Amino acid sequence: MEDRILVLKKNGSRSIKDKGYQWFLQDDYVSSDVMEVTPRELEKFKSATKEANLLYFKALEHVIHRNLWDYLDISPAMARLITLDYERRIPHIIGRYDFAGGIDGPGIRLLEFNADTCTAIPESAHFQDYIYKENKVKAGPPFANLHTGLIKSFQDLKRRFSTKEASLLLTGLGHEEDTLNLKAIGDAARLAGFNVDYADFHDVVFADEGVFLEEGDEYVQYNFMMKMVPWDWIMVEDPELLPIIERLYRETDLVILNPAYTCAFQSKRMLSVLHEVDQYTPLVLPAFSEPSKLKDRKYVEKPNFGRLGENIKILQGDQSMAMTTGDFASNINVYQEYVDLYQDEDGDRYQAGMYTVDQTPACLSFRRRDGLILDDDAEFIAHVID
Amino acid sequence: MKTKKKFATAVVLSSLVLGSFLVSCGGGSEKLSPTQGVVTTIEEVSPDEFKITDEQVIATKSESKIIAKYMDGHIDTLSLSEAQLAYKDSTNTTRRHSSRPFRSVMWGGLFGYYMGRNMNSPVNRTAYGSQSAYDKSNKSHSNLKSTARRTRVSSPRRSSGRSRSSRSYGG
Repeated sequence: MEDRILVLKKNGSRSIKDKGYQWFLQDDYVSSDVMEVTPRELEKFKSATKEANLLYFKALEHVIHRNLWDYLDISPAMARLITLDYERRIPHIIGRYDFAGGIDGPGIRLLEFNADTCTAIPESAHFQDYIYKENKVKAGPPFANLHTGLIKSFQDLKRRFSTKEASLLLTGLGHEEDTLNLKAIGDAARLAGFNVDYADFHDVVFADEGVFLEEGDEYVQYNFMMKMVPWDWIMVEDPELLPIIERLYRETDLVILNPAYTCAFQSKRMLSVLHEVDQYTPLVLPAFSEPSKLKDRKYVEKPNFGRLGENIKILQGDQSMAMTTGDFASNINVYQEYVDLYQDEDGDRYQAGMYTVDQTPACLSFRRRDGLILDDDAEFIAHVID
Repeated sequence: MKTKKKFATAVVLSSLVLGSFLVSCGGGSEKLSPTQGVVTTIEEVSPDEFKITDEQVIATKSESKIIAKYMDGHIDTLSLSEAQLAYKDSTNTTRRHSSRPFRSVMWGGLFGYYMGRNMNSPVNRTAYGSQSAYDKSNKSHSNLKSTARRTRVSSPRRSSGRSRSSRSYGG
């Protein structure tokens, strides 16, 4: 394979610190190596993203019409929210498609869709530009229009719900990385004209009248919520909240981002539904709810609502070749054909991620790992177009 | 100033607390206070008769004001705090009669919610000089209500789900 890695001197740390993102500078996570992507490869990533997006929405309709909720391990209460948000056409504000291939020859293959709570947003939206500018790279700038895309999306949302006050509550479960990802989204929403505040999810008040934060002896209401709290977490850890949210959707037109249907997209069993919907496109890897059809090749066992590369197993026949531990051992699984990632001269592997904003490709970035499985130790790799 | 006093005594207040009003609400009482502001423009359409021609919701409550345009071309402006102070000075009984047109117009529009009117009541069509001004304020009323501070909500509930702030929930 061609060596596409440009070794630069600076990793954007000066600007990263200036903008309040210094948390990301630990553990050499932000590399000063960048991937060189050709313009033609970028266009192919964009086309693949649009195709994947169409397939996911087609697969969602398939799930809704055939009631495949048990198959996705989605509860009836969650299924009702998914159907409601789909019918209300609440926009998918931000998601990230993860791909293998696309660099130096091999075709693009969809690995999975981080539709509900994707992260690496500050890095992709901003750090790539910082790295590009600080190193005065001669090649073309990265494809990184996430910030402007989010502003436009929030402006569209404000216009669509013009009778509601544009009050947005960002909420997460407290991890700093999640809070910083919310900050990147909130900054764009503010520029779009929203009043934006943050609160930990356990401080958010769900009441008959809507969503509130308590301030002293008063309550302040928010008509929009952007959560870095997975829907599957709510479904498992606080299922009684789901009917409350359903009533708020119906009676107050509350908007929660990302919308409930991203729970279905986030379910990795959807990969096998995609394969059922279109088994001919090379974009979609063969995937099934059990491994028998994949035993003649390398394949991957993935937990349905897994994150951060946890509880992944790579197998050949019945032989395990690599695995990770984690919190998702009790999940049902999906089995997907294995495909290799782009490798550099050192043998490190790169996974491409394309962000969409309101279903439009908006930003490309990469992550790198020295092993077979991309987990939380992966580095962030910017790119340039050359 | 003569016109300011005439104007000010027209403003009706049932509470000295800035824009709050106690309503009964199913077994308890809830206070609803606007958190945003409003700029109300009224015009004298005939001697001593005023109609609201425009109301604009603004982000900062303390910047709320009333702009009164008179038939003789004269324009007067009263801030929210001036309106409050003016209400306190209600000892001049000879002025009260001529302030009635102001009173119903202010009470009937969005400004009424800053003078103590129940936020659950809609704005009055009769206070407005045109259907479009009324429609606009009707929409604005929903906004004001949805962003109003409440001292009570029904069935408040927080999430009790287990989580660890030591791990990210992203992907």
